Amino acid sequence: MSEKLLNIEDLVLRFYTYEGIVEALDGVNLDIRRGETLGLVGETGCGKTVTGLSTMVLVPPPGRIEGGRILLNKNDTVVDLLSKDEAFLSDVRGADISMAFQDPRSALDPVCTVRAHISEVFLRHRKQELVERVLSRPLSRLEREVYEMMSKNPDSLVLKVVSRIPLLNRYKHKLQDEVNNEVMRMLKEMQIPDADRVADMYPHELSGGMAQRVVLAMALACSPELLIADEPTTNLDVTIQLQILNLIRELKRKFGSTVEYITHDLGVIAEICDRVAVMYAGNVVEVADVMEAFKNPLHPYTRALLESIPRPGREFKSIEGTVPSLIDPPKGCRFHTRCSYAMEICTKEKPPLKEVAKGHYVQCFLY
Amino acid sequence: MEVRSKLAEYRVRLQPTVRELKLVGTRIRSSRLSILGAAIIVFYIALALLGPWIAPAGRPSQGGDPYMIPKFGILVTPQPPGSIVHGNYALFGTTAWQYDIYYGCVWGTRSAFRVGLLVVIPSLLVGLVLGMIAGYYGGYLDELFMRLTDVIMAFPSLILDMALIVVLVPLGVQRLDAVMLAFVLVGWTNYARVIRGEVLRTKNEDYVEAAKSIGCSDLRVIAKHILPNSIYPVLIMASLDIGTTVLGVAALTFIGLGAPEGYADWGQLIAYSRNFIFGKPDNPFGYWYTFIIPGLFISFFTLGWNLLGDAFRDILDPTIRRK
Amino acid sequence: MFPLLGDHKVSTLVETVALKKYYPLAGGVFRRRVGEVRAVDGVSLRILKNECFGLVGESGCGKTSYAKTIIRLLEPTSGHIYYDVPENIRREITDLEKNGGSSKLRKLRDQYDLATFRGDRLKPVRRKMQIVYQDPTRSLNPRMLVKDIVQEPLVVQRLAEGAERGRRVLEMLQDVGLTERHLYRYPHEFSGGQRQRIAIARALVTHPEFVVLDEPTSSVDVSVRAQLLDLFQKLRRELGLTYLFISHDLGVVECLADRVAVMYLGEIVEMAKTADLYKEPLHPYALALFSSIPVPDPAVRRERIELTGEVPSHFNPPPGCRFHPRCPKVMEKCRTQRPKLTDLGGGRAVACHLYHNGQPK
Repeated sequence: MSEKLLNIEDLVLRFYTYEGIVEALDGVNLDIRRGETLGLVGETGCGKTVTGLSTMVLVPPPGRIEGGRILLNKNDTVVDLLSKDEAFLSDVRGADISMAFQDPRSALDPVCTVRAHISEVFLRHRKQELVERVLSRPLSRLEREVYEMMSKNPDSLVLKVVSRIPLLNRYKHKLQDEVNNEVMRMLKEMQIPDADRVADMYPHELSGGMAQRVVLAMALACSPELLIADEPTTNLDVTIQLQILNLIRELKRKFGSTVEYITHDLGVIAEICDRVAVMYAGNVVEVADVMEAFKNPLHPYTRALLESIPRPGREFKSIEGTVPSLIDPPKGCRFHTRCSYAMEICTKEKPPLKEVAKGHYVQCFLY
Repeated sequence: MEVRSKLAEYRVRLQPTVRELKLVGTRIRSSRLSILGAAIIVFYIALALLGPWIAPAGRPSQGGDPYMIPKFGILVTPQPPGSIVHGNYALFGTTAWQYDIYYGCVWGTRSAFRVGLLVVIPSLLVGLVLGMIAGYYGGYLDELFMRLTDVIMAFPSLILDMALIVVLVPLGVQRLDAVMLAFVLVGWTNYARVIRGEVLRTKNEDYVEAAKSIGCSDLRVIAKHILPNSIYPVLIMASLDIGTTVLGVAALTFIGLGAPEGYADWGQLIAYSRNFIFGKPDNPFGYWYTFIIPGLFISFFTLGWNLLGDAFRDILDPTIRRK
Repeated sequence: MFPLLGDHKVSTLVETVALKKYYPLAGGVFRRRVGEVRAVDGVSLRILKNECFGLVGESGCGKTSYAKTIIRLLEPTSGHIYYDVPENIRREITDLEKNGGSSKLRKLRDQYDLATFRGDRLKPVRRKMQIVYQDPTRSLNPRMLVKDIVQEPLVVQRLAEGAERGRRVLEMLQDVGLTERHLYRYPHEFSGGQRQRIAIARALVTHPEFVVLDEPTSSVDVSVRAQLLDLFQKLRRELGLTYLFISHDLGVVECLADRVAVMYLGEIVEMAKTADLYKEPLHPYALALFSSIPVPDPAVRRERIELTGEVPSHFNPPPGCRFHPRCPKVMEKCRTQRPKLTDLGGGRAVACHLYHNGQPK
């Protein structure tokens, strides 16, 4: 059993909107083990995207995290991300945990080239390394002085001033060269053909698949421990989706990253995930190995979800009712209004997430 | 029977609108600036409506036209607020030639509304029609209208207004009417531009295509589908424009091209104060009341419409309403 | 040239012959025609009465353009569109065309060929052909009440007045699973699935015969999808509808369609009965396409064919067979000669040089 990389305990998230308080996450428990691909599956509104955002403490207002802990295993120490300040978190984001968003073309800044996007990641997190690399090359005396200053005293006022003076800041070119090398390396890793040309393109010139590769390049630039992929292939064609999934698999192997894959597509989950967590209305209702989850789904919602996948020759089965509004969610187990096995207790208390079989957790009073 | 069921139908139809309005009301109440804007405009409306009672007309110096400001005397020097000039009480004082500032401000409110609405509404309508046609049909019509607007907008608007006024008045058009006509002839271009942009955006929406797929005529598509969804920015512009128009007319009146002599208009009052803005050397702002008071009236009027326009924008956009 | 079906007793409701839809590209200072995007490049298909015909392909392949051209939301660049036209007339038109144009050809086309209809002539046709869009949030006017949305076709087509109209609207809403309570509400007050039902109600209220379903389930959740598919099937049975079901979700198409055609870059590359096609796709593109569908069953490990490169643009399609730059089985011939859609018997047709003689090589 490999160690836990990330552990989310009892996460509570609320959105304070005009229409009321949305209880988006109701005590979410989730853990991700090093080296695995965990699938987070659920329908629209179940909270999977905000879970991903919360992991990086990136939930926009009016959302507020109001409870729980997010424990990250960083450099062999466990830190609670929710107790850290913005400076610490800003270092974590991009370097330890990074996210690939759903719609690649809207995740990219339309006025920045591909090169600019990826460079930004490197400059934010790996500047020191890059400066060292520059210093190891032949430099003129002046340049060497500037770079030494960058390495030892990066926040100095002198640097700030000099970097803004047009002719003097030519020294930056050396650094940019180093960064460019890294950018090209990343683009080639992403199997982007004609990387030189693509690097100077703007997001609107890229196809969906290409844009998604760029987003992945940004996310993986600093070899983060954890990659959170939020529906990266939902808007892509099926053949491009296959390319991207294969790419993610390959990259995972190469970089040794752990992947949290958020999606509503059960087919994709079956394709690339090792374990899967099913979410409904702000709760994690079932967690299991992917084989186990498909073969032997325990939670009534998971069962119903698998049943509702259209199959030829069979009748269409859907789940009764609709997803409840999270402003005044049902008491007790939130699924009880649509559950065919609902019991008295389900309307009153929320079931705990229990380990029913080895590695198989369910949140249901049936067990 | 028929009638009753129709009435019942209307009542039910109104329900979702009522729901939406309640939402709007709450939003207005929650934004202090919107309340301020609304309050200001309400105040002005009250002033305009109550005009004849709180500032009664009928003096001989007005010559039968309530829109002429009564003169309390014949001397040039303005009198401070609260003074009594030839037995007439001047609440806000008098301006040059003893025009009553109080009366001018109150009836100036009516003028302002009159001018504002009579300029903005026709500009809006003309711009709407032309802009919609240009946006919807495109092609040569679009090119034609847009080049026309380009030409008009190339001139600084106030200068163009002045030129038009100078042309229209000798043709026999009344002074203030000429001003309003000039503003309309120049101002419609802004509306046309904005609505054209909105139409271009809206006409590619799925529901417009869906309407065509069921056989809607062009007119129906424009009226029922495109118009209601593209008109909000224009309405907001219009409400902002009312304030701006009044400001513009005041500016023109100040230089003598606007309202006629003695007309109850805020700009006219300020025009009269021209020689008294810098009072005597030992009493520089001695005649402050001649321009500060009407100036405040103008400023708050414009402010009120601005705030209201902002509020409309925040409130009327159905997509962001629910935030 | 048309894939014939053995069973001629079933009549054709919609047929397109060499239908093309090109979008002109304007460029340069004077906005001259620089080139064209060949969205639909010569598609000949027959859709039979009461069948559900599936059209699959990836985004940008032209399937939506094709569907919208059939129902004349778009104007075709060339080709014929026949709606409920008897076979002998269609054949006559084809013959007349082969033997040189004549006034008789023009007269027949004016009368029967939908491609020549303009303006008001299309209005009665619109009653019989309808479309349901992918995204119900965008296909419903946000400022109209549900009642107005659903009754608009009746109003525009002058099919019913007053109480009769109200009755039909209510009946339609109930058919799609909504109630009277929903009449006086705005679309944004509903969930995605419900909005799609409203869109369906609007499409069916005039009792059309032919309905284009343009990715109707792509924007809704998995659990709601099944409900909508169920509804589609039920309505087809009850109202005797014919569907053109467009989707990039191959799983959904498999459940609903009788026959399926695969489109690539504006052309049909393969067509067959659903079961046949899914079991054994012949065209290399179809093969790759079907193999890349993720199956919701981790136990199934399928051989997946990964295609290289991106989908090329319609603007400058490759010469010869359009798929040849990405085809794993490309031959010399493919680079220069465009394969024609050939009938292989049993309801199957392929456009690929591998199968040119009616037999796989």
